[in-house]
Amino acid sequence: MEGQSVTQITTEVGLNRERVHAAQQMLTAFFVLAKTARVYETNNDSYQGQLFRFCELLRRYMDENFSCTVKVIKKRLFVDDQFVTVDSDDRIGVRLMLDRWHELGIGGLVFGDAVSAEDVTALVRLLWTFAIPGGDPFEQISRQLAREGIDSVSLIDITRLNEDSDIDLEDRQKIRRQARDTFFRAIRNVKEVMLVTDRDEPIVVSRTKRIVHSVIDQVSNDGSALMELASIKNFDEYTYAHSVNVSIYALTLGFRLGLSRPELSELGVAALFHDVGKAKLPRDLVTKPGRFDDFDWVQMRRHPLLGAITIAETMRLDSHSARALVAAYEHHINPDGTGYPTLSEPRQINLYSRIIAIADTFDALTSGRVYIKQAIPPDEVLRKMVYQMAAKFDNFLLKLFVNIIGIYPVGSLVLLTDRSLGIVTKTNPAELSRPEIRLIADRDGRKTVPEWFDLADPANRSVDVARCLDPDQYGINVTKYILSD
Amino acid sequence: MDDIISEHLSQEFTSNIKLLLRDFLKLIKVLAIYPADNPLPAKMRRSLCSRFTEIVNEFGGLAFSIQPDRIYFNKEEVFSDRGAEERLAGLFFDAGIIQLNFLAGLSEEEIDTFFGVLKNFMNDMSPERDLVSVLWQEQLSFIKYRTVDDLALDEQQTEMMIREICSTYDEDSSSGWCIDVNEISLDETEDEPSASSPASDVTEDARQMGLSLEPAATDNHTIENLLTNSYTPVGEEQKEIARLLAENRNFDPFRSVTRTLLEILDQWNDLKPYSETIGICEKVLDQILGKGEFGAAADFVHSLRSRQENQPSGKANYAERLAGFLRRAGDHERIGRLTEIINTQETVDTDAVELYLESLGWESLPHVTGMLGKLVSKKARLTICNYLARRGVDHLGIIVNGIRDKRWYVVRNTVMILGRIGGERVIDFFAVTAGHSDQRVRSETFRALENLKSDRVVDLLTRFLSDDDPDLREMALTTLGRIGGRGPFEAVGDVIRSQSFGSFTLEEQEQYLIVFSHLGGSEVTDFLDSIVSSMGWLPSATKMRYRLAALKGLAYNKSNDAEKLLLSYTRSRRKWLRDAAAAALEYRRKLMYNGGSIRDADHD
Repeated sequence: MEGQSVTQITTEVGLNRERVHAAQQMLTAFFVLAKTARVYETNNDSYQGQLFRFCELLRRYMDENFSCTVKVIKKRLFVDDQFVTVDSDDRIGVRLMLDRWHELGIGGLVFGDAVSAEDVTALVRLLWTFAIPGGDPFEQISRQLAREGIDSVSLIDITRLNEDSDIDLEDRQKIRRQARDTFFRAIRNVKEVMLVTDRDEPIVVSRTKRIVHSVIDQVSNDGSALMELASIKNFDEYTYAHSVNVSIYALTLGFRLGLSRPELSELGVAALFHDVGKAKLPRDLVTKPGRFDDFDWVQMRRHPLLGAITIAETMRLDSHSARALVAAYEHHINPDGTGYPTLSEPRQINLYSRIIAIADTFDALTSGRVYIKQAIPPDEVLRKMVYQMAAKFDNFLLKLFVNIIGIYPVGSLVLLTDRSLGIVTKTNPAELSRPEIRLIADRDGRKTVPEWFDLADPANRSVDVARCLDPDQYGINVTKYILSD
Repeated sequence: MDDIISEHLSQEFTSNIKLLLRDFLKLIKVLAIYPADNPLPAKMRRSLCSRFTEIVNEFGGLAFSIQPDRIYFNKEEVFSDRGAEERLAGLFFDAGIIQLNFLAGLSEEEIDTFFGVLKNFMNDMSPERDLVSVLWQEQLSFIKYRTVDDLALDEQQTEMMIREICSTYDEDSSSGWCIDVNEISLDETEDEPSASSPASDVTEDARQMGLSLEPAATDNHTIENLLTNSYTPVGEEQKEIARLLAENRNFDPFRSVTRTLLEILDQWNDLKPYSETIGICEKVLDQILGKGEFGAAADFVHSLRSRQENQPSGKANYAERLAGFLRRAGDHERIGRLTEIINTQETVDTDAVELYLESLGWESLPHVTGMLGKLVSKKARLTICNYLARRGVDHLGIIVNGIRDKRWYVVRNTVMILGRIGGERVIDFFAVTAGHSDQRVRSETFRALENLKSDRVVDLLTRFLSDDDPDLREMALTTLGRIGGRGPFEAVGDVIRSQSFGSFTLEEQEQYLIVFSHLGGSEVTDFLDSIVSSMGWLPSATKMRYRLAALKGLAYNKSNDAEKLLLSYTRSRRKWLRDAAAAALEYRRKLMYNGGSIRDADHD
């Protein structure tokens, strides 16, 4: 539904009605046929009548829709991804058929366009009569179908239906597009908020919340596309992108921690606004490309205080703004109370502030815009955070974060042991050293059409990641790949 | 034929949708009124859930377009709001929802959850209530919505934004590049060290954080050593996560914000930002009070007062700014707003209210006194009275302003407060209110006087003997009878001898005689005897009542003369007198030896 216009959705639902009706009729006829096959011989008039009816309905359905895939997901029937109920008084009969499918390891059927009445009869008969001797029933029944020459109908393995990783290319592209939409809308929103605060106008949070909710939904399903976008560092206006990156990293960590949806919403907004105080600093200071002098730093160190004040001034007091205010103030204060601003009395640093501190430092160091005016590869940043700067972070949260980012963080350019080059697109929590990547250069170093390559796939075990590379060193614009489907 | 049938089905279907929405609204209204366990709404809810899912799944989904006061389905109007009580479209539109879709696959559980969300939303009166956020939190798989914000966001073309925000993304400095991968070592430790960046490239801040450009410990200390291949927090780490989450849930937004603002104040060495921050503190205080968080508000004001009192002498201006804040915290406008806030609350945390008032300066007392006239809750008014009684001891002049108020309830409340303050000082004011035109004020004055210990109190109490209100007269009589002494005796006697005594009811007259006798002792026995023995012109029934009243009075008279008189009556030739006297004697002895009081006369 996201990204669709009102008219599109309405039209779609209207068209759906006819399609659903046709699918329902066809499916109902199939189950009636299956039931009849159980009772009568296939040359019986009743069976033949039902067979004719089903084939006719199937043909009519496929004339409009070109394919017919029936799946059972969580005890619900779907025809071509459309939920359908079976219009039958004999629900027990339907249940029996579906139980039989389950017993045989069948998650669904795919009818090809050349399906004949004979094929249907053979299928239905087989479904009832196939004996399961032992071993994998699905594999055996599939082989039996092939032996009988039935190639116009294929079976869907029930285990494939339940695999979360079974995302086809179209789904992957859709996820990446959605992630881009969300990411850039978030940047635009942060920019608008910063401009508004610069004019001392009130901040209306509703749109920010909608964006944060989109981020959370994507992080909950598969946050790798967003993490990939967060690895882009060559934005013209870094401040805004930085806020979005911090939000993505913070929400990923928060999700991993088990924060509830309302809590994630608060964290996301707080992370987006953690540097809102910079809107009150001179613009040329914030965007200064060269190193900061001492005076610059004195001013820059005021941004947490300014951020807290800005939020208090411009946002209505509620749980979101309270969290944002505290995080804006605390995100540069270390767990031991050092850092800035200097505290006049000890205080327990809030959980969200500690999360944001980690995300903020990671993004700042990988971008090379703040602490060091050169980008550091993410894996090295993690090493520095753990071994040089550990006292500045909550160590437990840092450990979780390192685990999320992984050995080869998303967006990293990696050299494989077969000398091909790729960009990490997704970490593999079960095996961190074997992420999913997108190959961009062959083993001769030549640029190729990008293709997905999952190192965790058993077929790819012979190849490992050798090391991370600095893309700038080789003039490779990783951004372009990340921003493509 | 098919077209006619389709059209007919379409019309029928649309009618069904209209009915469905009407029932939808009815259910929401019922849910908002009835308790959750009431069978009527539960039954309605189940029925509607079932119908709703049936229609949605039969039709393959329903998509509604929402306008400020209308709902459309397939471009046809299926609902329009009729007034404040019938706002279904408005409910969604005001929350920003312009499209609401129910998808095929919708289950009864999910639509039931949706109804629950709406019910809670309608009962939530807080200004920051956000229906869209609540729906989002529920993660409804088959109920989707679009908001005005989504529409605005959709207008932002991602491709344009990419070009606007990331102008270099199209560049590829080595288009058609080909890298000599064989030149790259598979082992990064074999790389030649890059030209070392001078340490000054690391900022001071970074240095303070421990950051250096030297590579972090390598080889034996790589990240892999930190991570196992299948890292899942276990044991102590699971406990740590649980602890972090539990601690997080204890976050107090109001106290956290105020604590941060106090910290910020302490940061400033410049008066201008300090003053501006004080202004923000005022704004935040208003918002905290607006949410009824009086405890947090009290803490905040106390902390600021403490800072004001402890400002070093060189920062008199800072102290003055804080003093201004503290004055304004209890000014007329703020106290007025506080009153409104308390009046809107279903249950008032009176302890917290009192805590907040305690944090204010004495300058707020006149405004707080004014609250009494506007507070709806009796419990809240009592709290204010208690507070004023405590603070008013040192500021009586402010409290007594209410004595002259035109509103009777303000006068009454002021009397209540003065009564609690007590002491000689307040008695003069009661002299004024004892004669107030409103009985409720006089009644409160009486109650206040009852608890005071002073000779002057008796004088004032005697005034109530001739009050227009019989209840007050009775209370005064009983109290004076209990107090005893010359003053009350003479006062009661004056009333009995007055012309107005004749207008009292017989019961009241009886009471007066009893009290008179109790107070007068031997001084009144002749008088009572004259009543018992009188042969005057009064009708016999009335005469008898008086005689019996006089005899009862003698029962309450502790003097020996009374005893003798009663004994003489027991030897009378008149039987009624003998019997009555005997009863009176017995009663008298019971009173004298078993500790009966004048109050017992009420129960005879």
